[in-house]
Amino acid sequence: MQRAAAAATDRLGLPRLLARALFALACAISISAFAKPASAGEGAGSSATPSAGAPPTGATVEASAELSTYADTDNVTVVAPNARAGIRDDAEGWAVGARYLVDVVSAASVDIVSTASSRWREIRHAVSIDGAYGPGDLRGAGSASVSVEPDYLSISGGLSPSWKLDDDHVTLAVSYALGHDTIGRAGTPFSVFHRTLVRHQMAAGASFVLSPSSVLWLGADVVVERGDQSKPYRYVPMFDAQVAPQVPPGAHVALVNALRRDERPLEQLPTERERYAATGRWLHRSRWATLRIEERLYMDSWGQLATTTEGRYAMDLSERTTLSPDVRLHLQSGASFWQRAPTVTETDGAVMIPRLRTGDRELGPLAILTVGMDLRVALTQRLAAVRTAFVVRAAGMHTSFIDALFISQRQAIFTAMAFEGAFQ
Amino acid sequence: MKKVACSIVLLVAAAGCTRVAPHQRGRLAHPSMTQSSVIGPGEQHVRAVQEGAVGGSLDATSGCGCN
Repeated sequence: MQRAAAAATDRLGLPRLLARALFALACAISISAFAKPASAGEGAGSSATPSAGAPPTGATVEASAELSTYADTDNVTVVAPNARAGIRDDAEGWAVGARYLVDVVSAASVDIVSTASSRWREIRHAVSIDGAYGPGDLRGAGSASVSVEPDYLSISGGLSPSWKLDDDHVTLAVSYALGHDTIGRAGTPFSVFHRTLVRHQMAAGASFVLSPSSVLWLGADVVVERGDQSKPYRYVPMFDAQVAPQVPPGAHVALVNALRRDERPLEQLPTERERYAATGRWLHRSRWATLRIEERLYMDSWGQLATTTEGRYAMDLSERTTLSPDVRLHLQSGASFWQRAPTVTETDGAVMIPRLRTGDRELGPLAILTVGMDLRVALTQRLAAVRTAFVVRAAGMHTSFIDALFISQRQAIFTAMAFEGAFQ
Repeated sequence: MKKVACSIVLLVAAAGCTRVAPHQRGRLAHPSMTQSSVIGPGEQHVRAVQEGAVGGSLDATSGCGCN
């Protein structure tokens, strides 16, 4: 198994050492989880309600650290450590927290190869803060974040009040967030070249207590985007109209280069976009497990339609161990201006390229199937003054690009290891 | 559209008929019954970058290796 895991991760570009470390860690956690029987005090009650038997007293300090990795068959790898710290007082109804995240992206994807560029590496730093206050039925929460990389600066902030109604049987929530992105080019100061993208995100929803073990959430969100979000590095191959049908989905770089015209303009996307989504989420808790089912329907002004269906089943294997398999299916149609092989028109010797053009296969029709599993192991008793836990996640993703150049499918593996601690 | 609206109204009405006393809420208060996202920021970012129709996420930005 270890050899298989190492071989798989080698193919995906992950170091063998990391595969061995993941395997060793999973073994250690499994042994730890099943070797420690639950104490008498841990199993009290019909559920693992944190507050059962010991109401919160005073503030709780929480901290966590996570290391996640991503690698796919398109030669993209991402290593992203992040840490979070916060303090909360459930009795007083307030909480504050902050997170710091670093993304190290290394890529030699087919898009880069097709432009004869070399592998590149980029680092993104992201800092976010959040807070909430609401000792009564009305609760307010706010957050702000900054994300910085050599050619992209993103600043966002938002507020989200909520109200508990009908003796806590219904909770209404609304939110507004504003995002301001500055898009540049690596090696060029923003003062020389940049584009601005502004996002307004509005959401509203309500959760309903359906029974002593079931809750339903219904929500909708609207995102209004203004600005040119075209990638300043993405060049789009152009074809003659009579040649385009000869370019099949997944056409290799060599074939595309053999059939395309000399013109290779930069990507140009619409400068306005409105996104609409509706979400339903049903949660049901049985004695030893929680079932979570979610459906999200999406449409936008670029003509994309999508559906995302998720299911997750969190099983309590013991008082300290929870195993949560999950599956997720995302299906989307292409944008209205999507063309696998964009074509030019010639009129009186003048070549006209499409006003809107993209090579971003994420704007084309695709399907993504994700199958994953979480293993959470509490290393201490549930009511201990200092509580710690280990969480390991692994997920495999298969993407089918139904109508794109260069590749028709992509496999990826995502892993995350987190250590969480809390004390009062 | 009318059917959807009627369904929501019926749902709210049905929820209003259900009375769950505080001492019956042990399962509802379980940490796994959260409405929040259950995945970490790393995986959220992967989804935001890879799904053109993801929407509603202000952390998509760049850093995607997709050039």
